[in-house]
Amino acid sequence: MNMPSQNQQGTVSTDSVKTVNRNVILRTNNLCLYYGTKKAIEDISLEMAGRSITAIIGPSGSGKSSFLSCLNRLTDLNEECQVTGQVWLQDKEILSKSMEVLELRRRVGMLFQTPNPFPFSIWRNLELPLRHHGVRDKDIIANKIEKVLRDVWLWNEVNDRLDKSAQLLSGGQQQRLCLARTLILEPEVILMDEPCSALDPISSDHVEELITHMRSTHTVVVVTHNLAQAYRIADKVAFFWNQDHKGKGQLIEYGSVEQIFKHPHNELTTAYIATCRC
Amino acid sequence: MPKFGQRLSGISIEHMVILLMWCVFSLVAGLFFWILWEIFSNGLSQVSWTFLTESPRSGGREGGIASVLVATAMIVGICMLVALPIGVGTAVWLVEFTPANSSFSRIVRMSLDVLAAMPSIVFGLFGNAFFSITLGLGFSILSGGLTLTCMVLPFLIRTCVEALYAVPSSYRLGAAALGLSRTSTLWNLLLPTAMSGIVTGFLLGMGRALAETAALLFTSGYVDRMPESIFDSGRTISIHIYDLSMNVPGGEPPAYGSAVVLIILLLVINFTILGITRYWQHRRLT
Amino acid sequence: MLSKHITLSHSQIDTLLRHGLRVLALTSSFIVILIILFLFSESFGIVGEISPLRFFTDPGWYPTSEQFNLLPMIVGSLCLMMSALLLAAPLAILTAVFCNFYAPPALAVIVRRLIEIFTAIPSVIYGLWGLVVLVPIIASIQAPGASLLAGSIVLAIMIFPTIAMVSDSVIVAVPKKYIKGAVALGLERYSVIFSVVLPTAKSGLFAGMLLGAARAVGETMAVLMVCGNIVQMPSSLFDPIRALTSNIALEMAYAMDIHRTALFVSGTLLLMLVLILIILNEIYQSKHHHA
Repeated sequence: MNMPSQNQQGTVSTDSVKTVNRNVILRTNNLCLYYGTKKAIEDISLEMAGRSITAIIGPSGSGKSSFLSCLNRLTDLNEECQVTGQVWLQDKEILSKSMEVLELRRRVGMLFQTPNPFPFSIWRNLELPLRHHGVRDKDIIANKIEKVLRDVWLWNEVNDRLDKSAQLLSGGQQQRLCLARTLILEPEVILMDEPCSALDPISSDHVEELITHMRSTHTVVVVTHNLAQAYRIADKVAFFWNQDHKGKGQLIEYGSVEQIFKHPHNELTTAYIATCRC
Repeated sequence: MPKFGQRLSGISIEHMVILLMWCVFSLVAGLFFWILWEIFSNGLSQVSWTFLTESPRSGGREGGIASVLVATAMIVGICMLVALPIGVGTAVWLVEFTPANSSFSRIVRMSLDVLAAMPSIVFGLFGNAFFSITLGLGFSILSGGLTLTCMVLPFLIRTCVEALYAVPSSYRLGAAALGLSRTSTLWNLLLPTAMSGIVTGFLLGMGRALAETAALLFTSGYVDRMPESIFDSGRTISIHIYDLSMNVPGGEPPAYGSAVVLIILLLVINFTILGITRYWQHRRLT
Repeated sequence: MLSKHITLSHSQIDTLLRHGLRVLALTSSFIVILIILFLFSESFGIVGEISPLRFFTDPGWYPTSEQFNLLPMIVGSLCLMMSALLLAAPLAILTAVFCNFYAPPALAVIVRRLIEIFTAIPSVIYGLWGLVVLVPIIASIQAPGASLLAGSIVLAIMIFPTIAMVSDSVIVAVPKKYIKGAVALGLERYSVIFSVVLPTAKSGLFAGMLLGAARAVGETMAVLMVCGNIVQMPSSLFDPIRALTSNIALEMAYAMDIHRTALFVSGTLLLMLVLILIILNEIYQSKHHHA
């Protein structure tokens, strides 16, 4: 399938074997986003299966990051932002007034392009979100911190300096700490906005490997400029394009990684994929 | 180039400018050291333990400045106690809770600019009319302190606004993405990160309050007795200096002594600010 | 473990915080409105009792016999402002240039630090120095010493650090590429400064001067202490004068009824004078940015 038709229900993939047995966990329906009067993304309907990695590719300005920020309502921070359409997280419509935004953001974590650890110690960076979400027991906190730091392969590197400032870590370590900070809240979905593009190649490889490991436990939506990376890590790929450069990002094609990279249906996709030899 | 034509008997204009620059510098530096020397050479000998711990007698010619120091501390204390929550609150609201281009925010900013430019004697007039008479607080430490609050508020708010703007927006995004509430983000992340700026603003405001005289002349009054409550009249150290030098014949020596105490207090504040800035920069780097 | 009812109360706290902060912000802006309201209501109490024109046409300032000519004091304030500015501005700008281009770096750091400290020194201290040191020196040239000249010098010393600090930050902000470009043309240092740096920094320097002027016009204590406070039109630099600000400070303590109102009128005039300076600056800046 090329453009998903409107009001689709349930799983639709026609050609992907991978998603057949998995439930759709995140679904958007006719999602539009405006900055003031300017439309940033237009009519995006997508379905993302649980425990899979969806990569969003496309040129700058095609609304990839804007799309991502609708999924955890980070758009609320910008007073000019207006979102129409629906986003369903399992059976809950997250754009509705009744959705508890803070709980939503606990369930849908996010990793940013530039590592943004808070200017506190490593420990405090991990403890702060946990305490905020109601975990007070010291032993539980300590256990959880150790577990997530092991999960992101940071424990051995930093276990002797948990009380030192997180900003003393290298860029790659900082990004992994941010990933740990997201993981510690046990989110179901993790959104990643070009998580490797600000890192050196080796750190980038580390983070990429971590992301592939998360396939079995989380639903990951990752925005990336790096087509080779999308090919390596993704189960499904969505291609966004900014038609006429008028600032309206649209979904051009959505399908399994094999289909998008080997047999793209849309010629825009073909042309864009051709820029990379995978 | 005209360079060659500009030589006057072997001395270039550049040399003359250099000479001029050093003359200006010497003049300015000399003037300021003269002032400081005058104050310190005459005043330092006045300052002693008894000067600091005794209350003034016979209009300030004898005794010390204990009651004046207490009244000063009370007035500045009230001023900062009221100014801090209003100032920090307004700054947080301006930066974090309202878009910078909204009309309400613009009105608040504009009124703060007007407030910052207002002459201190105008604050005195207002304080007298509003706090002393309309609210019935009379000539008291309370009305003096509240008048000073109005005066230091714009400076405190400006420094706090700058400090909050200096907090990277990636922190705010990160906190929001972790599902932290606005309150929690503010309390646990933004205020601690902006703390050095807020403390600097607080100390700057305190320095201003300490230096102020005109706004207090007819709000807190002249009385040099030891104040018993915030509803008593009390004179600050600045007013004490003014009164001694203008209205008390032979009041110059204690005026110098009080001036030394005031300058030292202000220097302590100034160097504390410098120390805080250095410490925070150092902490950020290591 | 990640309990739900706590997040519920989180958003309630957020709402409370939002309302609380709005109240605080309202309070801050309300103060200005309150001040202006009080100044005007106290000033305009006089309308109907005496004509506002009398502030300029009465034979003199004799509040006890209900004569309220403010003109000598307005002139006095303006004279003080202009002469203080004439004295302080060139020195301040040259000092800023000195810090940026001529002083050894270590000295520049010290000078900047000293300027910062001198902005924090209270006006009574400058007044005290003026009264005890400067006035006798001027008196030895021409009596009585407490005069327009003494006031101008003390005011100039007071506004010098303000203007120097603004000028310094403006000069620092001049893009380095302009300076490099000028140097590459073979211009000498003074030429770079006077033909490139200062013209580029012009609007900022102007803003600094207006800030200094506003401070000079609003200053009370130092002027009160060294100017002699005699209500008269100054005919020479050595004449004692009384400024608008000193007038308020001197008479507010015992003023009643119309006299008190007249003092509020001078306060309002003072505020308007300062506001005019601010507006002047705004106009100049916007003009400069459009050009």
